[in-house]
Amino acid sequence: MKKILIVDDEEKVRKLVEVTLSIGTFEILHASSGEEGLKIAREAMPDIILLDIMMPGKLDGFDVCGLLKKDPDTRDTYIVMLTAKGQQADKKKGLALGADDYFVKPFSPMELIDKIDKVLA
Amino acid sequence: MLSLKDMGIRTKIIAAMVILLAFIGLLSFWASYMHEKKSLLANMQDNAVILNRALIISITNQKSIAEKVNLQTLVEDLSLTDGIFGVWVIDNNCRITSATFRNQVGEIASSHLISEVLQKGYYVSGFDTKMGEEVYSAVYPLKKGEKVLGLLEVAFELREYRHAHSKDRIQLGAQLETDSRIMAESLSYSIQNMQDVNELIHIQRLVDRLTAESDIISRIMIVDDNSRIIACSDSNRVGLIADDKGVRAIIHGANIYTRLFRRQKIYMVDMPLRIGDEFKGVVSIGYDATDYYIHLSQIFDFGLLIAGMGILMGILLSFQVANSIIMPLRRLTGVTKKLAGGDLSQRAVVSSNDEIGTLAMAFNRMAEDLTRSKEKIDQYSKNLEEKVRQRTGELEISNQELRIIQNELLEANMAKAEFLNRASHQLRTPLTSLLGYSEILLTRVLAESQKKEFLGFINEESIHLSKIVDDLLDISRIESQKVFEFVKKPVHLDDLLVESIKFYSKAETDHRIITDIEQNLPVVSADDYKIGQVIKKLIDNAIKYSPGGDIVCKAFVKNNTVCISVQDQGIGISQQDLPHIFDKFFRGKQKETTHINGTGLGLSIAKDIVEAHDGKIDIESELGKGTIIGFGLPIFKN
Repeated sequence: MKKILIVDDEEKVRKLVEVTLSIGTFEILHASSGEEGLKIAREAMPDIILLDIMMPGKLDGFDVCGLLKKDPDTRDTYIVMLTAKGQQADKKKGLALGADDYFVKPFSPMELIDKIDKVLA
Repeated sequence: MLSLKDMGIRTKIIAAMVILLAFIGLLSFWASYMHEKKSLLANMQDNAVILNRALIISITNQKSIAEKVNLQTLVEDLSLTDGIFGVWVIDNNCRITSATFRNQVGEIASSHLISEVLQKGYYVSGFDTKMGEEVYSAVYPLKKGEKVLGLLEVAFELREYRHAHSKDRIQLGAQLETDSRIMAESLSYSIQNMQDVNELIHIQRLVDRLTAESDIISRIMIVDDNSRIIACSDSNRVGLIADDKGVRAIIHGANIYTRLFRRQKIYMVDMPLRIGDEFKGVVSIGYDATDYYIHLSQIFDFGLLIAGMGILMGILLSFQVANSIIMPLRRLTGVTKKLAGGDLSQRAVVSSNDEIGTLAMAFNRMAEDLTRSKEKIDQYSKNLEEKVRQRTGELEISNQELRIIQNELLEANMAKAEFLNRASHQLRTPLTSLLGYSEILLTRVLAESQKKEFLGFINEESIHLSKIVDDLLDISRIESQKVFEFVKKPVHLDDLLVESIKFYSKAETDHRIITDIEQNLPVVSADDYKIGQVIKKLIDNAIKYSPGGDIVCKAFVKNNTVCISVQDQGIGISQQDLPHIFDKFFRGKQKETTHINGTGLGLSIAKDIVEAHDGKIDIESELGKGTIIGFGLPIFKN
């Protein structure tokens, strides 16, 4: 069963992702901050990480992405940055840090399922 | 080669003046010389004429000048007689008047016989030696009455007598004596019969004496009307025909003829000899012109000296004049050069009233103008420098101000970008929930409880979204600088505070809101909705930026204002952030605040509203120890 980690400070968003993906056979992991996301990513080694950028705490999404992509153990983890629509700078910065893809908020659950399917295919 | 172009003006002036002076000197010298010469000549001529006249008068007092010549002719004719050695006519001064040997005329005869005859006054004869030859001479006195005028000597040759035998000699001697006596006697008789023979002798004597005794007369010649020389200082020429220009001219009727013999230094004056109106001959006198030439050369030398001195003085004067022109010019030139070199203190010396003086004065005026102009320029450039410095300073200040403004603008821009980023995040989060959950609700079959939960999410996020939209509307109003439209009326701020707190008491918070309200607070003039918004924002912030604890809300009067303050026990604000706390879009820079929802406009909007009510908003805070924020509005007076 594929592991998907959702890192977002908004519980409602995390829950939405979980609900959206509940129709598939995924193990959904939650993290509400950058630090937590980094920790779970290293421990659980998820297949996909859905990583929000703007989060409270010492590490934001970019920091987490950079750290994971530098680490040989987690480097291969597929990271999808959750970015605001039209924030080209954020997109570029994320890709430069090693993010594999990006996904624009607000998103439709169906689109998210399609994206996940494509990545795992 | 020195050309006129290369010469200085001084040299040119001097040269011109020297040439002019030399020319004038030469001209005046020549004129005076010629004048002197002419006057000298005239003078000499006058003298000569006077002398000639005197001579003519003395000659013309005598008659039959021609007779004089006849005597010589007679003597010469007689000399041709065989046996006669020579004939001499001698005056009573022993001077030979006429002689066979013409060159002896004028000489002093020296013979014991002559002196004897002259002494005794009667005939003497005897042996004598003439010109180295032994002769027999008979000397016979020439008498006029008893007066002895001269004597006649006839010398006979002694050849026959010598060759004769001694016995014949006595006879021959006697005959000689007789012959000579007869000859002399007859001759003397014929001579005495010649008219005024003594006078004739006298002319030659006069001529001789004049020639000998006079310093000025060097030559005299008396010529008869047939050009025969009657008497002459050169006695050899007596009896010869005079054929010179002067004599010819006079014979042809001229009254006077003068010639100057430069080489012999003789001035010849020829004049006619007249007795009554009858032309008798020519008197030609040669005057010694040595004095004239000496005088002339003296005049010449003196003139030359004067001319030389004149030229020398002229040169000196030229130098003086040239210097008087050149020196001021030279000084002026020097001064001009120095002036051109930058020394503006240079002034020309005005030493004359001429053009140069005028030039010097003009120069001085120019130099003064120049100095003034330079001073002005210096002043101007000084002023300019000062102005430039001032302007530069001002520019620097305004540059600094601009830099500050630029920084402020940059900061404001960054804050705005930050705000937009936040706003988009703020909008995106509820929108994500709204879109996501509504889609889930629409597309999936869900349990009733789950539907309710999701609808609850949608409702919550809608309210949140509505709040954000409110803030954004305020921002857009501020951005477009629209004036808030206030509806002012007397308001009790304490009531407004209580109302606001009620709103929060419904919400779930970890905070305890405590109120401390003074009794009987005066009213203020305010838009109750807007001021209520301000109070809510203050409380919002107190809740947002403190994890919990007490929030103390106060209402009181201070300095004629009614004040509302809200105090929390939250994270506080750093001293660094505090000055910017009312800036638009500003949010605390601490990491801790980033998760707190907010637009960064709350306090900015609050400040604008309070100030629009003539009020004042203030904040005190310390990092980690909480914040007190409050505002005061002036008490309303009717």
